[in-house]
Amino acid sequence: MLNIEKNSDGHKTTIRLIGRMQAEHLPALQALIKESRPRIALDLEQLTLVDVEAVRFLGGCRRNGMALLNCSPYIREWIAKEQKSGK
Amino acid sequence: MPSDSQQVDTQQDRGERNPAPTLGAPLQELAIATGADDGQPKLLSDEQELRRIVDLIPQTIVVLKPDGKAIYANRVTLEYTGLSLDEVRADSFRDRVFHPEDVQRLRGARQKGLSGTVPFENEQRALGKNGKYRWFLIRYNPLLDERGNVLRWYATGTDVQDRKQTETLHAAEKRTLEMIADGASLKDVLNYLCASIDVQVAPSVTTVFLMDADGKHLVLTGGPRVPGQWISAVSPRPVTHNCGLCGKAAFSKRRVIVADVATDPGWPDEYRELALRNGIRAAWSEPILTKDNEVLGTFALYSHESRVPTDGDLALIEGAGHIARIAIERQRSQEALRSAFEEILNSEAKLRQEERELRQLIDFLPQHVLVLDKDGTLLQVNKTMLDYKGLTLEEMKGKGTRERINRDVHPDDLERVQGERSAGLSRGVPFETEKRLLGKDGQFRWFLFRYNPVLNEPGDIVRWYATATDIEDRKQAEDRMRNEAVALREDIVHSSMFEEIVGSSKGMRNIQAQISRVAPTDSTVLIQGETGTGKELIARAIHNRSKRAHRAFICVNCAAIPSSLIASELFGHEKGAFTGALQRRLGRFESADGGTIFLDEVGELPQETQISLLRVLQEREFERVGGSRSIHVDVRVLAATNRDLNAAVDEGGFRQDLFYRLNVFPIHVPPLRDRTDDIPLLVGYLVDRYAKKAGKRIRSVSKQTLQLFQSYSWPGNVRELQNVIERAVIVCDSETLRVDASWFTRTAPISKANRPFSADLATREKAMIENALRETKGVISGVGGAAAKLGLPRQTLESKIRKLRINRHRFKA
Repeated sequence: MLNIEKNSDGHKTTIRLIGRMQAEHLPALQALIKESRPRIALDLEQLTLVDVEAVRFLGGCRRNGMALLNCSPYIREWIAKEQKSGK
Repeated sequence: MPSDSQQVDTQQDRGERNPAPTLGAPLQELAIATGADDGQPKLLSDEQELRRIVDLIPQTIVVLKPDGKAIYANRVTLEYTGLSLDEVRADSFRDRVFHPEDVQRLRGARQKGLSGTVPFENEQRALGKNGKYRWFLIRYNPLLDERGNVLRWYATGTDVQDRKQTETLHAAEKRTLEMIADGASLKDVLNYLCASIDVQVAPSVTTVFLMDADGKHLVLTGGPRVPGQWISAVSPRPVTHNCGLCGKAAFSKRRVIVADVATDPGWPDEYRELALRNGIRAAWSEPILTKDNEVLGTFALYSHESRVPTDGDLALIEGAGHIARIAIERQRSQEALRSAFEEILNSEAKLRQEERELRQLIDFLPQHVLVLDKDGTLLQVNKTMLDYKGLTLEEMKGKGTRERINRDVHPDDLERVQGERSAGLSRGVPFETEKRLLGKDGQFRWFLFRYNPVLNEPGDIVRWYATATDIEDRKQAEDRMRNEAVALREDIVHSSMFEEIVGSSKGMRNIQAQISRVAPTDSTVLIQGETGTGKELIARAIHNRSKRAHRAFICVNCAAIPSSLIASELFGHEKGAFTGALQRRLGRFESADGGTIFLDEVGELPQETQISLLRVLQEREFERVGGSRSIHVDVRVLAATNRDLNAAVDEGGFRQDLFYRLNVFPIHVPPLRDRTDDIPLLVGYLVDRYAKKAGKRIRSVSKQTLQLFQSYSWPGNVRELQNVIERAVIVCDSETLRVDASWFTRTAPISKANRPFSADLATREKAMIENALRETKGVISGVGGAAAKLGLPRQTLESKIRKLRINRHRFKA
């Protein structure tokens, strides 16, 4: 189960991800990002669990300039590992 | 008519005609004696006596020649007309005395009568010496000779003025009533009345004033011969004691007489000159009163001469006023009736309109609306229900209530519905019931029926109004919610298994690819793997990525259900199917209709249930336990097992045909020892999770610990790793997580004969908690509590105490 909360102050949009994020949640999240302002940050403080598709997505977000806030060490490590294996 | 006119009593019966006298009779002598123009007969000795007698007769008597020329008139005639006998004998007598209208009207009839030999009569107005006409009945009696020739005509006149007046009033009353009945306006009726009276009183004129709606003014309504100048001056007229004749009569409710307009102080000065100029010299007004003494108006007469009204005048206006009252009241009654009738018609039309609108409203309500009699027999339904059923009202009613219910209600609901319905109707208070109703498309939909009784004044039930609301969507949502609740419960139970998704090793990538391929299809999938490898997670991933993702995902652990109950759990049962089956219960397959059912540990299914499952896989049909009706479902089956099903088939523990049906798309989940690349990530995730839960800050995992984890065989797979890390986090007192190698050496090598690691771990955990509770004498919270000693949040410790079934109270002593 993944809850998505969006908060915007007019200059910056913060998207808070809460719960477990898996492949099936990605289309909705992509749509939300698309309709938001350019300066977007993903707050991962309450993101408890991710699968490999979610990790790749988060890695892609970071490469596209989005900030990943409060990222768990294992997710950060996993993103790095995925990027390394992808090169 | 003049008040001083001579009243002549009628002494003859109006209905009799005088027999024609013949010569030799006493009157013959009189005729001969009075036939002065001849001058031949010798005067009789008693002539004077006879003349005196004739003169005393209170009737006018004129003797005429056979051609109608007057030759004699008695004293009454002469006194009334004021003429001399010579003037009577003159040729101009008739034109001079009788009303021109009557002369013209009666000319032919009179000539005809005079040319005959039989008596005849007519009525005509004769002018008196006072200048007024009075009505006379004139009877003509012939005097015949022996051969029957007319010698003389005796014309006797009887004053019938009063009778004519009464007749006029009667005729006016009759005509006015006829006019009212014919729908004439009140103005026309009153104008006719005045015109009728005017004939009698000419040249005087009459008027009718009616009280205005405000009750303060009189308005001229009848009076066709009243001068226009006068009308415009006096209408409307205030009802006061000092504002003219009619206003005063209406105000005082008494007759008012002004004998001389020129001098009467009661006549308003401002109207005096105008009245005189219009020929009004005297006037009298009669108030028209209802029986309740309410003023309707006035009837007035304007006389062309100054005089006091005679009794006849007063009787006339009183009679005319009476007729006017009848006319006004009748007219008002008719108007009231018409108004009431129109009001009734309008009310009825309005009611009909409202009924139509209400009917339309009811017809367009989304709910079904039914009207039943007190016994529950159908009387009416709205269009919505007829449309749903595709029937007419008569077809809806059918042959009776029982047949209708049997026809319309789902067989499974029939017994319950009939019981609830008859109980509700007999209680006589509002009640409701849910049932599936057959539609014209042959499909059943769920409806909520609400019944409300309609009571009469004594409180007896006369009708039942019922509404039926389509709750099919709600029912489906409830089913989904129920299924989701089941799924959620299992989700909570197995939430610890989701960490298997962490990792991107080759094995995991292969699994992901397989899920992507098989998910969009409806194929049955058999997921195999050791315990704790996340088989359910794979099943959920397949469901979530399938077209059934928005429907139920029902998970059944076949190994966790007693074999005697597994069939009932999967396929449901009918009421009374076995001891304790108190009501019908839907099985998991029915709950999963439209969605996915995940049969975990499918290898543990008993043989007889395997047959039923095979039928579901082949035909998508099954029967409830104790039932005989086949139930069709659309369910995707995902199965999982940690057993070697091939071996089970060989050993005869599992049906081969079922195995082939299940093994359409096999997925093998690798054990954790085959994906050691994922262990650092999994460790990172689990440390993060349990450190947060314990409120600890753990920044790293020691290198030795990680090597230990990667070298261990993990027979319990991820679930075992999770338990080890949870324990390590609990005992960790620094920012680096470390695990003692002894934790693994004691349990390794793992074999089926040995005790499972997880069980050992739980035993150790229980011992630690019990020690802490012993030290704190059962106190959990606070600075010196067991939670603080163990470095755990109070809630976590309480949870563990419950989970490990520790009786904390025994440490309190």
